[in-house]
Amino acid sequence: MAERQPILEFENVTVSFAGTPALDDISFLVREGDSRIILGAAGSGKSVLMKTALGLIKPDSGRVKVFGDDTSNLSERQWFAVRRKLGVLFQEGGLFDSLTIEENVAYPLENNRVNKPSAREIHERARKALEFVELGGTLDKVPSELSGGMRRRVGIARAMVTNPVLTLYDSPTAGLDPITSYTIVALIAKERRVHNTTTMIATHRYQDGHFLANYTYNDATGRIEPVNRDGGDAGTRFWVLRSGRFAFRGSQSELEQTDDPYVRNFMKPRTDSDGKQI
Amino acid sequence: MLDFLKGPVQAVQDVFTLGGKAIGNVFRRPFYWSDMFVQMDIIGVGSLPIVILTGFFSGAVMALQMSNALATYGAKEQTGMVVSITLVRELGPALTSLMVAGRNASGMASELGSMKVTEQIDAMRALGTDPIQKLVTPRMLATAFTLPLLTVIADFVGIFGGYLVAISTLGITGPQFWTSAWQALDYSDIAQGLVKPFTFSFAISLIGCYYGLNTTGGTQGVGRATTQAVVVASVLIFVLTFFITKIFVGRVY
Repeated sequence: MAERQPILEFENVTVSFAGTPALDDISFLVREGDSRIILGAAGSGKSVLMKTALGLIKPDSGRVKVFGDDTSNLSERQWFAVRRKLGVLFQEGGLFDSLTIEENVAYPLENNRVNKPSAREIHERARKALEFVELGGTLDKVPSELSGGMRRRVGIARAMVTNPVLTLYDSPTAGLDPITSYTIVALIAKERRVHNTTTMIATHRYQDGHFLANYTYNDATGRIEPVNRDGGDAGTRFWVLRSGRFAFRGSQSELEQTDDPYVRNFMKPRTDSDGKQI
Repeated sequence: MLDFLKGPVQAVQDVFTLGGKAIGNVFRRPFYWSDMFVQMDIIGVGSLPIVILTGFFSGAVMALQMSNALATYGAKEQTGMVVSITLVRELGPALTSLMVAGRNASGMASELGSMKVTEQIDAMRALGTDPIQKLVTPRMLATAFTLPLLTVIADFVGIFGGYLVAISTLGITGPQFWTSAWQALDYSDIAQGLVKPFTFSFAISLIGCYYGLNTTGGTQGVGRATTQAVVVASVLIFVLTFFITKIFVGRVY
C-alpha cells in the first residue's frame, strides 16, 4: 500500500506565553485520512496546538510542516494560500456577528483571491454547506438569532465550504448539552466520511472521541453506524495533552488500559442527577 | 526601572508598526472600499450632530468671554477676530478631535475588541483575510478624510455661534463681526487648522484599533480596552496639538 501523504507535521514545536510554555517540544505527524482526538484539560494547550497548526501563532522553536512544506519562513500573506486548504471551527464558532449566516459561510469563498468562484456558485455552495448541517432555512438570519448549537453547526458549514484537506475542530462541543453535542459530533463524522477529510478534534469530552472512533456515517443509508472493527477506524488515534506535553498517544483500547490518573480522569463516566450516564 | 518602561515602549513600537502596515495596505489589493465608506458614514456623518453642537457653543462662549476682556481695551468690535482665530487654530481641531476620539476611538476599540475575544479576528486570518487590511486601513483612511471636514464644519458653526452672540447681546453689527473674523485669518491658520485634525485622525484610529486588536480577558477586557483607547487618544491629541502649534508659531514669528 502506497504511503499516505503527510498533511501536518510538528517537529519539536515549543510555544510560550510570558515565559510559560503552552506547547512544550511537541512532535507528531498526521497523514491523509487520519483522525486525531486531542483530549486535555483547560489550559493544556489544545487550542494553542490548533492555532499553531493554522499559523495563527508562531512557534518559538521547532518546525510546523503543512502538506510536507516547512512553514517557518512564510509571511502572513503566504499563509493565506496554505490556509485555503484547511478548515477550522473555532471554540465559540468564531462567526462574524455583523454578517448574515449565508455571508458567514460564503466568506472563505468570497475572499479567495486566487480563483474566486462566481457569485452564483458562491451562493449555491454556501446553501449546500448549510443544508449539509441541516440549517438550510437560516441563510438570511444573523448569528445572534441562532442557538449556541446552531452557531457551531454554521461554523462547521463554513469550515467545510471550501472542501478542505484537513479540518481542525477546536472544542466543538464545549458548553453544549449532550443532545446538541451528539448532533455536532455526528456532523463531524459525516463530514469526515463524505469529503474524506483528515480531521483533528480538540475536546475535553471523551464521549466525542469514543463516538468518532467507533461510529461512521454511511453514505448509502444516510445514517450513523458502528464502524467495522476489522480495521475501519485504524486512522483514529487519541492524544492526551497535559501542560503542553503529550501525556498519552495511542488507540482507544490502549487509552482505556492506561494507568495514568490524569489520562484516566477523562474517561470517568459522568452521571446526571438520576445516576444515568451522560 | 527598565522593566517598567518596557511595556509602554513596546506599545509605542506596536502602534507605529500597526500604522506602517495599515498605510502599506493602502497600496495593496484588495482594497475594501465598502468598509471605508461605511466607516466614513459612521465617523463623519455620525459625528456631525455632536460636532455641530460643541462647535456652536464653543464659539458662542468664546464671544461672550472675550467681549468682556476686549471691552476693557475698547476693542469689543474685534470679537470676531478672536473667535475666528481661536476656533480655526485651536479649539475647532482640538474639540472636534476630542469628540471623535470619545465617539469613535471607543467604538473601534470595543468593536475590534469584541471581535478579538470572540475569535472573529483569528477566524478572519484563518479564512484568508488580513485583519489590518480589512479593519484598520478603512478606519484609518475614513478618519483621515472625515476629521478635517468635520473640523471645517465645527469652525464655521462656531464662528456663526459667536456671530449670533455678538449681534444679539454685544451690540456688534454683522459686517463688523464678519469683517474682523475674515481679515484675522491667514493661510497659515487654515493650514494649521487642517494639519491638526489630519494628524489627530491617525492617533484616534490607530490607538482605537491597537487597543481593540490587543484586547484580552473577555468582556471585561473589552471595557478596559475601550477606556484606555479614549484616554490615550485624548491625551495624545493635547500632546500633538502642542507640538504642531509650536511648529507653526515658530515658523510665523
